[in-house]
Parts: sequence; C-alpha cells; structure tokens
Amino acid sequence: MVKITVMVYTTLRARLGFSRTELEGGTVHELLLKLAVSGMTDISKMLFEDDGAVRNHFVLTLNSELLDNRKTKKVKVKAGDILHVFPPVSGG
Amino acid sequence: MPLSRQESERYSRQLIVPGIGLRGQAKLKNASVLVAGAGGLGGVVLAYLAAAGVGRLGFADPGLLELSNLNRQIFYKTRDLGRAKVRLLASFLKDLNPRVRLEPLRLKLDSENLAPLLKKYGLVADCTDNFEARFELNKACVRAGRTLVHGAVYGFEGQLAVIAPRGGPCLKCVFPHMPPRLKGYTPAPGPAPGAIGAMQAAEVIKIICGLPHLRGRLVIYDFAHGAAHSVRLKRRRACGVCGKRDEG
Repeated sequence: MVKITVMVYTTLRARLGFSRTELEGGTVHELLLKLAVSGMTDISKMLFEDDGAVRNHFVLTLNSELLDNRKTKKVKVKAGDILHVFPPVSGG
Repeated sequence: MPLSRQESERYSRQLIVPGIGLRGQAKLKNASVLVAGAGGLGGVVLAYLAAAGVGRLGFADPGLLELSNLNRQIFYKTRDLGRAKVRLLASFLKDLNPRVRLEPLRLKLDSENLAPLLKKYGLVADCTDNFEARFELNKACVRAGRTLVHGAVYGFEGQLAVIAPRGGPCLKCVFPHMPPRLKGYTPAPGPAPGAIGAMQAAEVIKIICGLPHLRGRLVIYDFAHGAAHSVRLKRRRACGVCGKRDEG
C-alpha cells in the first residue's frame, strides 16, 4: 500500500466536496473505490458501472498518461504518483 | 505581399514576436478559420483572430442574444437582446479590424452542412456548447483533414486541445463516450471562457505561423486553484472516427 495524490474535476468536485486528496492503495482500482466513499457523498454509482468497471465517460490519467478504464485493476501505483479523474466538458 | 504602412503599425507589436514577423503576418493574412459557436469562447477567439489580422473568418451560430449570455459574452450589448448573435459579432469585428473578411453564418452546424463548409476554411476552432456538436465537428474535421482547436469550460475549469486530422488522436480517442446529460445549465463564470478562448486563439495563431503548439496534448486548466494539468493523448486503434474511417 502506497500513498498517492488523487485530483478530481467538475461534477466529481461538487459531489465529493474537494478537488484533491491523498489516498492509500496498491492499484488504481483500489484507489478509485476509496475515492468514491471519501467525500461528502458516496459517488460509487456515479463512478462505477454495475459490474464494477469505471464508467467509460471518465478519463483517468496516472502521471499524465492516459489509462484504460477497463484495466484499472492491473495498474499498480507507486508512492508519489498523481491520479487525475475527469469527464469531458462542453461549456462554451 | 508587403504590408501597408497602416498594417505595419496595426500589427507592430506582434511583428516583433519571434516566430511571427513579416512572414507570419503574411500567413495570418492568407489564412481562413471557421469558428463554431459565437458564445463565450467563440467571441473571444474571433476578436483575437480578427485583431491579429487573420484574413478570413467564418463563424456559425443559430442563436439570438439572451440576457443570460451577458455575464461572459462581453462583446455584446444589453440593448441588442433578441438580435442574431452572428450579425452583432460581425459588426463588432468589422469595427475592430475592417481589413478582415467576415463570413457570419446564422445556422446550426450539422453533419450535412459541415462537409461543404469545411472545404472553405483551413482551420477550425470548436467553441460550441454541447457534446453532440463537438463530436460532430470532430468527425467532420477528421474526414475533411482540418485541424481542430478544441476549447471547453465547466465552472472555473477549462479544457484545451489541438486535434490534428491525420494520424490522430482525435477528440473521440480521448473521450470515447458522452457523459450523461446534466440537469440545468453548465456553470460558466465569465473569465473561464474568456481565458480558454484566448488560449484557443493563441493556438490558432501559432498553428498558422508554424510555431510549436499543443498538437497531441490536452491541457486542463483549473482556475479555481491556479493549476494546469497536461495530458499526452493517445490514439485509440478502435476509435470509430479516426481509427476506421468508415465507422462512427
């Protein structure tokens, strides 16, 4: 288990009540499970499909590299990594 | 073609920018850009491109000016409520730089009108306000071989990317799925589209002048915390738009 920084954007911020947090975990999937229950409201249904996969409109990056939402269980994290979670935005 | 004395004075502060100069100014004069949307992003993009001397500017928006536009669309006037935005913007831009050729298009861009329209412009700026229009524009630009400068905002956050037509990645590679439709309106404090629009205009100018630009990267600007996050984009082989041209 290592500690990494997780940054969230837009609707996730509003629901969680923060833009940045530090969480401990071994894989990106473990960290996202913790993220979902770490804020003001539980965002599990917002973040995950019924089968546990990360909803496909969210973009995940680990240290600025795009991740495959279907493979988060296989992506291990290192201490000091930065995970960003954001959806597309459309306002103009 | 040499610049007139008036042009030399008008553009004097950008002619001394390394990478622009007389050669870059000539490129700007010969360039044509289509700006999709005449709202908080589009108006700013157009104002900077007209001021910079981009030769021909097309801009499409079907909307009429509404009171709720005026917290961020600062080139319009309260007395003009109810009037067609592209007409109002054309008047503003003509006053700003009479030498620029303006082509206001009061229409909603769709898959049918985009293909012939894109043939007339060298570059496209996406300043629309909904996902359907953005993905349609992305697809049309990939098919037409036009670079797309993407800008979008949500509250005090913004996203900026340059989508190159050949070799990808395209917008659909980054965002393969639309998010669920939000209830209500998108939050939009004025400075957020103002800043992202200015950055889109900077990318357009750099692309035209042949300067290094954001190709292949998406930058998220967090104005709430004064931070930026740059992501290297990857092409998705299975992308329905740029992966296999006949799908999507």
